[in-house]
Amino acid sequence: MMSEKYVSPDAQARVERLVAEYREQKKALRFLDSNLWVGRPMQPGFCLRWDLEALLGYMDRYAIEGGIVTHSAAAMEDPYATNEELLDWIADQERLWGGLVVTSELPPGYSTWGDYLDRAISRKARLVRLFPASHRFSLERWCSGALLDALHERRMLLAVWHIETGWNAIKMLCDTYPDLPILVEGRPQKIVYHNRFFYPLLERYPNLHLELHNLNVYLGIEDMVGRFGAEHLVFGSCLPFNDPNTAQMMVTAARIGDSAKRQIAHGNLQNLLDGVMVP
Amino acid sequence: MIVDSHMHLGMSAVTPCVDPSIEAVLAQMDHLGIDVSISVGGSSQIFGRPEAGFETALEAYRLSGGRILSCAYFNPHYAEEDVERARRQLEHEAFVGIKIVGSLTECYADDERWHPAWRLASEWGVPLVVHSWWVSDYNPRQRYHTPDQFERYVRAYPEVNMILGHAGGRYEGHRAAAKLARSYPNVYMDLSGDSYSFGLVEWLVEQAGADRILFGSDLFMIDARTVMGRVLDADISLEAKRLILGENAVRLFRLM
Repeated sequence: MMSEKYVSPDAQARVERLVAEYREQKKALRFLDSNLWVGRPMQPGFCLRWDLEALLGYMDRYAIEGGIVTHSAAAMEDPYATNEELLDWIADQERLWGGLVVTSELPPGYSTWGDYLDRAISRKARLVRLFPASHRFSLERWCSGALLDALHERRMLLAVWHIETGWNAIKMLCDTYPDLPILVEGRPQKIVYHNRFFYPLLERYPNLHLELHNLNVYLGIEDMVGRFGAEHLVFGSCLPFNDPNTAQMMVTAARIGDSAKRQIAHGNLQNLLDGVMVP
Repeated sequence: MIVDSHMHLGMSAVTPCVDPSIEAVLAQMDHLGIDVSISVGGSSQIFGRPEAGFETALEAYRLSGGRILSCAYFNPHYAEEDVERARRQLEHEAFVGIKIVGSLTECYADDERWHPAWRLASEWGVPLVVHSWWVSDYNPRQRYHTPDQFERYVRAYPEVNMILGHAGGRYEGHRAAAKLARSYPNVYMDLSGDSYSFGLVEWLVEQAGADRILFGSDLFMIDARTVMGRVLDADISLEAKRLILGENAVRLFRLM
């Protein structure tokens, strides 16, 4: 039997204080989110509202000031039609930028990727997400060279899921397109078993970034910031699929300096957004 | 009091770990305000060096001044040996429960061979912590312990409190876990692992009640902050947060 040292007489007050402190810390860090979604998903979840109004409400509730949002149907349905719908939705939303889904094929009605991307950027698109495994194309130049060259020229963020690309392809992207900011997201599988892949890449490539919503390695934030600097880590929540607190407390309670926390919470993504070449 | 009711001492070859030391665990506990952590199967216990795992658990208990506790581990393929060791372990105050894992032993949760673990939990009056998940595309061994498979034993041993580690793991598993908890008063769930669905904490509280849910991390793999933030900021009452963060564990593991 354990001793009374395990019993705290002021448990309620302590939890109340922890909650209040945590919420204050979140507000102070002004989170900017690289990984927001809008639109009805196919799979079930515990969240029941997926529309833009709901997303904006969630952002307020969880202290997320702004972010890049992608259409939930874009990876499954017609990506170009859903991209257009998304850009219409966010046209008047000052806090939101667009995340597009594209394949290696040029969108209908366009003769160059530059034309498509410039128009999308002018309508607030800032990120492109690729699904080469699901959409059955290669990231090699013979298949995606024109698209990747156009993204590279515009410094547009390229988001990939590690299970969709594999780490060798991510290395190839970092090598071939050194000015293209590459953001690796751990969806739908967490990036907890992959340190041996991404540590050598973080050491070599300043254009490689890891998004936080499923980067849940025990002590990982401290270790990566200590080894490679804070600039490789970008806050993303995967809201409203995932609970944003998963990634938020990894930052608020990280044992790193305040400046590094601010970089991860909003500064790094803001820099990447500012770096996109707007026509 | 805050209790991490589901962590693991040690490390595994599969999962790179920044620092598996007991000192690092203690530093992280201090930083996050975690008073007690319970290792539900250290890596040596689980992966085939049970006596080394026993020593590690005792060392953690000693170094932490009693703040890091452990569960005995039972592998059904070594039943006699593991029951004997578990008895020795449970005699020590460092051990407060028993852990079983269907996936790594490839033995379905409703198999006859788990009886000794349940009997042991009954005999010693300690909770049985079980790994629970749902059928997975990319991890087929998760099929060995979906929550529904535990019903046979939950019904047969009503005096044993069972904690479904990871609360069923994924969406359908969460539904099955909540259903089991609603049906049987001796079923609990912990939040450890990477089940990060938006609204999950609130949904589990609504379905089963806050008195049936425990905070847990799955450290050395997963950082406790990914779970703690979700409880602190959940749309549930302060009392519910207090229960989940520690009081349920205090009661179940008899920490007072």
